[in-house]
Amino acid sequence: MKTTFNTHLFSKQALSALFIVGTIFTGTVFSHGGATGVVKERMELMKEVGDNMKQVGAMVKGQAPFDSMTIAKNAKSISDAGPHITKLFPNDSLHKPSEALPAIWEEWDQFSALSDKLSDEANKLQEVAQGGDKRAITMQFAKLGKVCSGCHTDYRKKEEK
Amino acid sequence: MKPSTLKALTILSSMLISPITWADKDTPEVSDPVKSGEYIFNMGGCSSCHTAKEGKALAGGLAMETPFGVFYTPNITPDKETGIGDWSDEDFIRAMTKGEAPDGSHYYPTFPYTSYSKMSRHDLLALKDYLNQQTPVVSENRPHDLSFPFNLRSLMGFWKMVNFDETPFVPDKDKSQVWNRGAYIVNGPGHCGECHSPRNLIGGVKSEEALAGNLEGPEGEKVPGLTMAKENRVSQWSDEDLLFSIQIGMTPDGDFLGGSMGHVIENSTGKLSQEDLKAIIEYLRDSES
Ligand code: HEC
Ligand code: HEC
Ligand code: HEC
Repeated sequence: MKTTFNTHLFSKQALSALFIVGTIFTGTVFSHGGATGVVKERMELMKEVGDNMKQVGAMVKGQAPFDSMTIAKNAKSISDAGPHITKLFPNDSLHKPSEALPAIWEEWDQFSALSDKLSDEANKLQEVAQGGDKRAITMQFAKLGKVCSGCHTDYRKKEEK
Repeated sequence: MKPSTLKALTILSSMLISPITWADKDTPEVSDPVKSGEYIFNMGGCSSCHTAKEGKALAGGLAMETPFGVFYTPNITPDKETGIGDWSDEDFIRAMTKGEAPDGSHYYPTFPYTSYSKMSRHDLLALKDYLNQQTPVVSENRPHDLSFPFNLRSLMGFWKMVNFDETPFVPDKDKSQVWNRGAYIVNGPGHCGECHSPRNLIGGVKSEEALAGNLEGPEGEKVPGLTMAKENRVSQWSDEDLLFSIQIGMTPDGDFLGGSMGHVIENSTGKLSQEDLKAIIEYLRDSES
């Protein structure tokens, strides 16, 4: 019995060794891992909201001067991106190198509710940014981030690129 | 320093003064045993596994898929029949630190007792107090669905001989108190190494490569390394970047962590005090491997 046990695990180990070799050779030459079509489009959309969050995050972290107008502008871009998310996830669009999980289409209502929530929380960030209360901005920024990580927790599996 | 930078730093430090700024919660009252138990419960991330997505809190039933089969987490509410309401303090401590059930049988290491065994008796008793205060739920445990020979619990006795180091946490006198606090959290309740360390052929954590990353993490995830080796991107991150990543999940490029780390942030690291998060970072900056 012990042999089956070991062989099974050995093959997994060998597989991961091959995987390492694979990633070394593929490297990171292509942006978005060489994605095409709708997968590429949604990666670009996500990258944009990532850049928006990065700019706001730098201010919250104290790495950039605090400027509520810039925060409001970035919040607006994120809010505008929300309605586009669901359109960029047509049924079973999972081709490589997508990191999307099939659960998206099994739980479509929850997935689209999260894209709506993204716009809602981004709208709120835009509002509080206009108010200029830094503490409130910081808290709302964290709330918005929760929507990002919430969706990435249930519907995305990080792949090595 | 420009005045604007100074202002920004003031905001940041006002965040640092009040712990759990993001969590919409009050500071844990350390003198209150149940409150401090709740804090330890969060540190242990117990809900990530013992509360199923649509299930009642701590009633178990979460399916964990592994190459050995599917595990279903048990009910750890204080219900006397189907939960752990009947357990003595010693039963609980034995389960958490020896990986043994009250009847003496062995637990599978999908229950990370391999890390929890480093928790102090004081913390474990506070945790037990907290669990005792939760709402009891009547819910029978679902048996695991494992392939032969992994369905044999007795095999775990052998597994432990090879893989389980049951020595308690011993502080390193040459390191600061903060570093030791970080070491305790990372290797004990926080159980970071359970996912972030590579495993040997029979699924034991390779202690000599602790936190080096794991291409074959739980559910096939690729788990990044946390050591300061230059191939790990955390080695390029500032302390604030690291703090942000484990507190709210944001990485320096504006992306947000997810997968099983999403649960860790939601249930555990996102609820810890700034002091404890900084201790984790201090330890990661200077851990052995
Ligand atoms: C409704 C779900 C959802 C929400 C909300 C969401 N994301 Fe994503 N995100 C995804 C999915 C799914 C992927 C993986 C897409 C793929 O690989 O096909 C992804 C991928 C990404 C990527 C990687 C893109 C690439 O180049 O591969 C970044 C960066 C990102 N998201 C940032 C964010 C940020 C920042 C937020 C919040 C402001 C956010 N996301 C909110 C679902 C979401
Ligand atoms: C990674 C998932 C995971 C985490 C995190 C986790 N557990 Fe568990 N736990 C399990 C699994 C799986 C079992 C069943 C093990 C077995 O059947 O051998 C278990 C078993 C137990 C048992 C034994 C219950 C019984 O009926 O015999 C107790 C008690 C327990 N866990 C408490 C905790 C506490 C307290 C925490 C947080 C500090 C925690 N667990 C965190 C997965 C987890
Ligand atoms: C249940 C498994 C699990 C546990 C436990 C866990 N992590 Fe993670 N961690 C992951 C996964 C998976 C990722 C990658 C997530 C992603 O990229 O979306 C990750 C990513 C990270 C990152 C970002 C690193 C990078 O290069 O992107 C940091 C920092 C981190 N974890 C710290 C911790 C700390 C500190 C602990 C313990 C308190 C911990 N993790 C416990 C699974 C885990």
